[in-house]
Amino acid sequence: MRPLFLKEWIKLRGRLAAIVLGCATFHVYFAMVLRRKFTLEHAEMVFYQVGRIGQNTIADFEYVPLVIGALLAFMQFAPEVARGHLRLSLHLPIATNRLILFHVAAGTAVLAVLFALNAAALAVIVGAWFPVEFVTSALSAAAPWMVAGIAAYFGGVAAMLEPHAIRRVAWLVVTAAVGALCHLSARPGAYHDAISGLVVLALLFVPAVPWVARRFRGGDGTIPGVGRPVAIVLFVTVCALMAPIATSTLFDAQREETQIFFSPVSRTFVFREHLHDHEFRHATREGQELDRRTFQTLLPFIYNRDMEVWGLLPVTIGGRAFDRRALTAERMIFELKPRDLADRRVDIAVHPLLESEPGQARLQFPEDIFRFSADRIEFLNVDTLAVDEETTRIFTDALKELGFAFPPRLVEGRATILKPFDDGYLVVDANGVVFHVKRAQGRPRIVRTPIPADLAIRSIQIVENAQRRFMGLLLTRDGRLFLIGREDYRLLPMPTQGYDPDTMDYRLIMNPVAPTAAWSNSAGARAAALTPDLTPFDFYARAAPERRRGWGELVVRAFIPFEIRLEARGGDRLEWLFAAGPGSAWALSLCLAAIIAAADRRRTSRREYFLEIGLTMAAGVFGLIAARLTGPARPNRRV
Amino acid sequence: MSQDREAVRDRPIVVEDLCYAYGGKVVHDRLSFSVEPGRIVGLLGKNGVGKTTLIKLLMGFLAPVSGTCRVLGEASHALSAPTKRRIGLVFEGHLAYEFLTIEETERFLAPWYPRWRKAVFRDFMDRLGLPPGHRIGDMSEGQRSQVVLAAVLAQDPDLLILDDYTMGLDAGYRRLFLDHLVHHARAGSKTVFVTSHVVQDMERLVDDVILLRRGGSPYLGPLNEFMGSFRRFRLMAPDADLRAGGLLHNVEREADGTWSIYAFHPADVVGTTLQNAGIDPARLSEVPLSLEDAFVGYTGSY
Repeated sequence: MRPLFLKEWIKLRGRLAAIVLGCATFHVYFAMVLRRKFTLEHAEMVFYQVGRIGQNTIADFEYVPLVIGALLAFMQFAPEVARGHLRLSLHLPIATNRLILFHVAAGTAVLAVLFALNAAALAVIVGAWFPVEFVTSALSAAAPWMVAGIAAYFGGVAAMLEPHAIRRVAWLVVTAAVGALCHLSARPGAYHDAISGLVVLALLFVPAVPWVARRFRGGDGTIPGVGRPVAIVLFVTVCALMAPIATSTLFDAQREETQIFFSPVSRTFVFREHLHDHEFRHATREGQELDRRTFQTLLPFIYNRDMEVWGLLPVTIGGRAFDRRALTAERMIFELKPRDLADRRVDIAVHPLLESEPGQARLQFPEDIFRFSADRIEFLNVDTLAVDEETTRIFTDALKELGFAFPPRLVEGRATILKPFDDGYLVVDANGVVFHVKRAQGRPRIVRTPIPADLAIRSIQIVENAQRRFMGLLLTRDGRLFLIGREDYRLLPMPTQGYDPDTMDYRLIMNPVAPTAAWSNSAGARAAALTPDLTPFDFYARAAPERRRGWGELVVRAFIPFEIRLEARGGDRLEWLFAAGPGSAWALSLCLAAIIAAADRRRTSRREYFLEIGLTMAAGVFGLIAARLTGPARPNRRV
Repeated sequence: MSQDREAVRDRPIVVEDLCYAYGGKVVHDRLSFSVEPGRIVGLLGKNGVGKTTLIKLLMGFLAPVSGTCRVLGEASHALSAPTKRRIGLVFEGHLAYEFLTIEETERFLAPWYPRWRKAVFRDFMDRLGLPPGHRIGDMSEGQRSQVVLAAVLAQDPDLLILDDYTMGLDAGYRRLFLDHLVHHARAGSKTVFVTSHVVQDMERLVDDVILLRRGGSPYLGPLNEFMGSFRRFRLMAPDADLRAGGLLHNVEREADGTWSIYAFHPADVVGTTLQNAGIDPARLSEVPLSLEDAFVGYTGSY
């Protein structure tokens, strides 16, 4: 193998130097951009933008690994193919698989070194301005992009070694599809649950590459080994991934979720549902159709601005007159969306603890941030990143005095200055006890709340509303939802029948007459009408209207046996979703396979025929496509 | 299986009932031949008759649709590493790793071949007069051909397959290449299978020829037998209506109106054939034949 290493080294060294130089130039630019950011803005504001809003510090790096992977594949294998070196190499006295795997291993090693150097450079640059949590977050954001780089390398190699033009295009499409999956979200941590699947997809190229190379040398005859089965899995998977994208691009219109409200005016449920295009239906639970204006006048706590314009205010509800100011002041909305849930969010575990008694109208970000370690709460200066030992000691002691068990399970708060006041953080300690942590006049103000420690809290949504009646919402792991009393931390159970926190938005629309709790997703909506003391007294559930489908869509969908999606269901974190298609897909695909085999009788061997049928039975039309794209491409006499 | 058949199977190159087709076009249909050890065999044929396809099949870059193509006892498209070690390939255009220098080429290749003949490689390079650090990519086509030949001969292969070694070479380098090839092949009793567009070179090189022609069976046999039996005649009979067939392998009307007749028979047999066809053979004369003439005569001008 040493001679091959020598050859690859001599071939690539100059080109690698160019890539390294390019990367170095990028990192100098990146460091300058970051430095400029800290020059133009206060460090605490940059921390807020990156840590809370989710700005990606290394966004400019997004396509660098992809370019490196594609370039490396091109630099390493374009001369082999275009200048015929591969024919020389394939005649070396070594098994083809070993030869190609060595080349790929050499390329992978180079890629690993380049990615490691880039990751190290990113870590050093980000670490110069941010604490280690931000470095980890930045590297986690870069991880899927590096997987894209790996896929670009392997896929690029397969495309270059592929002897047939159409299949070369197929390899490029597969590579582009896998690469695109790695760039669905630039949010750090978005791929936390999905990256292992992407790595598996990228690694599926590895055994496929020597298989393609063996076809390059020996034609399309049957080649034993795992190469073709793996290529088939890859093609089927990519078909299943591309099918929903293609169908949604071709046929899907944006659908809005159904909204249900309880009208304090008519004392009945009213709803708004999206029919198609720009057409909506407004109606009451009893089936009375409403025009949009009437619908809005039934919900004065929500649409009071329009009602004022129409001259319909003040309005009398339950014997009490409300003008616009009163309607606005009495309305309070608590919302909990899947993306708000602690285990679906992508947080950087570093937070600002605002001064809750600022002595001025506006809130301000402090010049320090805090994080929890195994045994203390640690405050860091945002400019120097040095630990403020004094503040750290004071807050740690205050927590310990109240029996806080480090490290915490959950730290929940709203790190923004765009709110009427600051209510600090609710922190669930290692034992499940909930502590309310605030900073008042620079000192800790900490309350050990009476919230039960065995509640198994999944997420807390703090809502600093001017009414200051409730702190926010608390969701438990078993799906119970509570409103948290602000003064006494009393938990008020909310209706949750049919509520799926992972897919549904939950809205609690508070008003003094008839509060409504409503939860919905694309499948439908539910709502509960509540008394002023938040006791449910009426419920209404409504499925989303069936979407009209044209003939074209019906025909296309009839052929799709299953779909694989990588998407964030209302959160930051992407997850793999699998959906089975109609049973007709297999039957139709089998018919299609039989027709193609009959039409292509002279080109299809009996073995290939049975393989196509088998794959079609297993994976529908995707299996048929994979069989055709990996089978013999030249005349193959029927044996 | 008969002993003869067994002996044929042991030959360095054995092609049996080979069929190959691109798309719907059949290039080789049941082609069979074999090459005896130690022989130098030239594959000749006009453009498009399947020379390159056959060479690619022998080199293992195509697999037969049916039939067999065995090289040193193994299917050519699935050679084991030890067998590849015994086969030297010279690709069209003197393919080489042009990013390597002369010295690096030897450092890269030598470890693969236990029988690497350092002296042969060095001798070639000394004659070339280029420093060891000279990049192959910076060489002329002729210089590169010498490096390629040196590298292949230094491997000390039992079988050499050369695909159009003349491409890009001027007369001087062609002669040099040929001289070295013949010298080493004869000295080492190597089996050589070669194609070239420069037919006259073959005369000095090959023992046997395979003449491929479109739509007809190929000629396989020793070159001297071919040259000894294949004849060209000139017939001064502008008005005659001559057609190939029977004893006349090929007939072609020349630019001056005379006929060139090619046949594997002496003048009297050809004369009688013409007479039987009602053509006066009085003005029939035999013309000396070069290999190129014989090639054109055998395969046809067009």
